[in-house]
Amino acid sequence: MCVTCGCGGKGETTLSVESGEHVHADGTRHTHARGFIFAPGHAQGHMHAHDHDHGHVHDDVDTPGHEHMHAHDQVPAKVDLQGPEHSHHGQDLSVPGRDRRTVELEAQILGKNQLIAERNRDWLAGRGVLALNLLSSPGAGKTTLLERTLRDLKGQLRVAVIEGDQETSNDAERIRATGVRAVQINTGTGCHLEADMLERALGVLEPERNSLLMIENVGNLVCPALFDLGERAKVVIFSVTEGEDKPLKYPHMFSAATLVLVSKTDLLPHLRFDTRRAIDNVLSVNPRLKVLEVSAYSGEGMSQWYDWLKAELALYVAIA
Amino acid sequence: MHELSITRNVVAIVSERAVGQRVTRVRLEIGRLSAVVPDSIRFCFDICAQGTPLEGAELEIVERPGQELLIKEMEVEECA
Repeated sequence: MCVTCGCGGKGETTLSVESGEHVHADGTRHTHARGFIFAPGHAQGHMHAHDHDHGHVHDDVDTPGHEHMHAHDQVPAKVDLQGPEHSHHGQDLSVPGRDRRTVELEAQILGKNQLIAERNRDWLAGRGVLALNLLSSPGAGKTTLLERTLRDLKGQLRVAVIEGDQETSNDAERIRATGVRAVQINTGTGCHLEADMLERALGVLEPERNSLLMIENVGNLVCPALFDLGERAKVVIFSVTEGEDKPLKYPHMFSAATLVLVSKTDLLPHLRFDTRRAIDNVLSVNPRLKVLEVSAYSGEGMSQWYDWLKAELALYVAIA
Repeated sequence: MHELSITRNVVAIVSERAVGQRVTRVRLEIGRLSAVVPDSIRFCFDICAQGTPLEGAELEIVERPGQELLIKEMEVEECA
């Protein structure tokens, strides 16, 4: 997967095309029981526990040497900095007196992700596919909102869906139950989608011309803000059960977005949520944001969301 | 939590440019609005640098206004 991420190795991200079938980074497909999407092989970059004496050789081609973190002696998710094999850690290995020179690099740290994102953007524009990156905390109701949207817009818009989660293909199955094509990306330990994952998912999904592509990112209000996928716009779903100050706590996400959907408004009678204050907070972080209040449960406000989608798609197809 | 991935990227990019040389110092410029925490990068750096040409290198981080994440320069010496 990750061009960048410590959150998982090249072979670890899986795409599930239909229930149980997966396409791996190297292109191999196979089927196994639903809900079990695991990391094939021994991918670099993830933390894992094993109890050998550390005399092993890594043959990763991307990053020679010893790049991944270990937790030794079966202590899960703990990085042992003081272990015997790491005693060289922090030692100055440079040789005094040897000539040193400074090389200007001026290299963008996320340059590779950006490059792939721009390639995705061109690919999508070439086909008139409007891609929206849907972002929220876990449990804000992204999938429920999508399910309702897909059912209500059936016959009006052509839509395909890419689902991102750490594990399981539950969400993609929920989407397929509405009759819409969906690909599940499992990021393993990864906390966000990256541009190369979208690139591979696009190759599998092949969205139709002049259609809408909904990308449901991993539920996380922090990291996905940093990784451009090549989407046309980011849509943040902010549920009324979360507290009015969420935009102030996670300003990066809200400043990167185009539209905010304040969701689960049917619950308002049971909550002490001040919608006006929440929207003021949203606008204080990003005054250009458009805000819509919706409930996928009661359907309230959903027509404004559909109007926005239709208008964006019409505009996009006209200029693409 | 994305600082580990950012740091791995730094190590990968610098390693690529440092072929045949040992890196003794790396200077990063981190925008204050980039959502990247310099201390977390420092925490990850030594671990990520292990077994690469950056092992043992000094990490300098300069904070800047804005959102940019840049590897400004590296200091290298020839390997023996």
